[in-house]
Amino acid sequence: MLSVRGLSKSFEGRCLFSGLSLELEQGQHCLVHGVSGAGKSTFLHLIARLDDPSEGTLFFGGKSYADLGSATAFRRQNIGLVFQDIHLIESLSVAQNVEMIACATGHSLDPMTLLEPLGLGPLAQQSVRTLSRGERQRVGLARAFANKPRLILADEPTSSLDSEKRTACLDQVFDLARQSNTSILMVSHDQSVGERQDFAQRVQILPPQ
Amino acid sequence: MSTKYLWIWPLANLRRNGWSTGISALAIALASFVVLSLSGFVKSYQSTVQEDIDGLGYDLLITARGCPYEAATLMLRGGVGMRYMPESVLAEIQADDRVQDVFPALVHPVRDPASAEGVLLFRGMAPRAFESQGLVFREGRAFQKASRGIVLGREIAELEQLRIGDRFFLEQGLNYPEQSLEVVGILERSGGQHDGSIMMSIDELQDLFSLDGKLTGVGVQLNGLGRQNLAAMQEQYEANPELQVVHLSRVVERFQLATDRMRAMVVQAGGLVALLCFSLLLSAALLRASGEQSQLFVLHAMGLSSWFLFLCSVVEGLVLVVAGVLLGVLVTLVAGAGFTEMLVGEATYMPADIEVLVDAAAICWAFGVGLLFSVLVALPRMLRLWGAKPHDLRGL
Repeated sequence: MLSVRGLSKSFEGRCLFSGLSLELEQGQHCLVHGVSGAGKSTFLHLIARLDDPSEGTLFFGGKSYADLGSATAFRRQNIGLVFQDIHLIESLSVAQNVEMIACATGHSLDPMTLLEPLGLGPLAQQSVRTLSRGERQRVGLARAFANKPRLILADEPTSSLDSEKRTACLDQVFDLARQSNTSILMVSHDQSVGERQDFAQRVQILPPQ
Repeated sequence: MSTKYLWIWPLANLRRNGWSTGISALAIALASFVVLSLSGFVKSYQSTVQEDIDGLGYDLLITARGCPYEAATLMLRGGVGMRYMPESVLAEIQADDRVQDVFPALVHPVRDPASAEGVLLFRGMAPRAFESQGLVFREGRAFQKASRGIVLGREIAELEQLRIGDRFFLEQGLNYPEQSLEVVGILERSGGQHDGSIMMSIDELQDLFSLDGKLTGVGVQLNGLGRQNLAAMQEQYEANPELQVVHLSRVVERFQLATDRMRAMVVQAGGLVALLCFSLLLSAALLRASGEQSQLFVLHAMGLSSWFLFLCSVVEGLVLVVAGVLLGVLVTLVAGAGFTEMLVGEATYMPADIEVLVDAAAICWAFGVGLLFSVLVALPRMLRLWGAKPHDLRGL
């Protein structure tokens, strides 16, 4: 489904990473790890077509990114995103945050089908302003599934959860992914996340030599 | 794409930013109020002045020499403070073959002995002038010559609580004896100067106040020949050093000029207020946008189209505009007349019962301008969004 070959990214002449490659089949999950500042988030942005690589080629569903048309339409149809800082819509409730993404991307969805498995059912009608950071991260994860994507790109999605809740939350997320045959490409520092058997592949981003 | 969140999200944003929403709506309400009040006043002023002049029922006004526009204005106001002209001119005008009909008038203000500040306005006129000026009798009929009968305007009849057959008592004044005059007719309310007047025959009025041989003006209705020879007529009568001729169509033009000036003032005042309101909206939107830029970028990154986000922004502005304009219309209906009172001093002539006419076209204009503002305010947010890259925004 996703093929990354020899990917490099530089900012203002400084090389962030180079030569990254990855082959990911539909339904498989991949963990991306590396030291702070190595460019893990940037790697996700390149896959999401939020930025352009300096070198290398990317393919999705057998097609080169250059042939995929509009980046927004590509993301709408294929990509779910969980950002490090989450960025929920503060004026809406938990359920509305999820439902809005579904509606605006042309999908019909009962938000409870995503909120209940992640333990957010009782909070559905609450404003997201009242949530703890851990709860917000779970809403961010639920929202990433709202447009029924083929691939979810998640940047440190459980960093604010304690280890017990993190394990439970990731169990539920991978369950949801399995049911919908969605792949997950996850950035995480956490060792317990790295030890999970759900990941078929692991990519380490190393600082350039 | 469902349009459900095109409304839910903007409304939630407006609710969340309560203060900013309230201030922006008030700014729009203020702009609408100023523009609608001023334009409504100008519209009403134009039509009322035209009606008042049409109501005089003649083409020319011949008066004692002075400022012609002042004379016309005073005639419309009811003649208080007018100068007198010799009645002998009337026969000459009547004999003129260019004249269809004449309407001599004698207007005389009298200090009301029953009230410290009040003035009674006596108006001497021909009985047939009621019909020609479109005045309708509520009760009774016109006075007959030398009958000591009077016709009352509706307001003064109500004030004095007089009916047909009652007598109107005028206490003795400096140059007239005590009088008892029979009320023979009461007019319907006309919205003009007749509402507060006491009307009687010219002969009676001259006799009553020792104004023999005096008139304040002669309204002249012309025939076809007269209308073709207006300039010659004006020249002929103005050869008499005591007279001046006021051509009422020129008076209309004069008032038209005054209303054009008022209109220009409305455009300037409205433009300034609208600009102020736009600046307020824009700065409020930019302030919000800088806070929400990351959020917008995230939504765009999640596949929401720029068009959807732009429409949400426009809807947010539009809701503000609709709320503001409706509030502005409401305030105009309640307080528009009071607000425009300050314009009274600016106008040469202020008709009675003038009101602020708020019509659908003016409201549509206000909504149209508001819609344009909403689009203009939404644009900078979208331009910032289209140019953004993930590394420009923190936490992505």
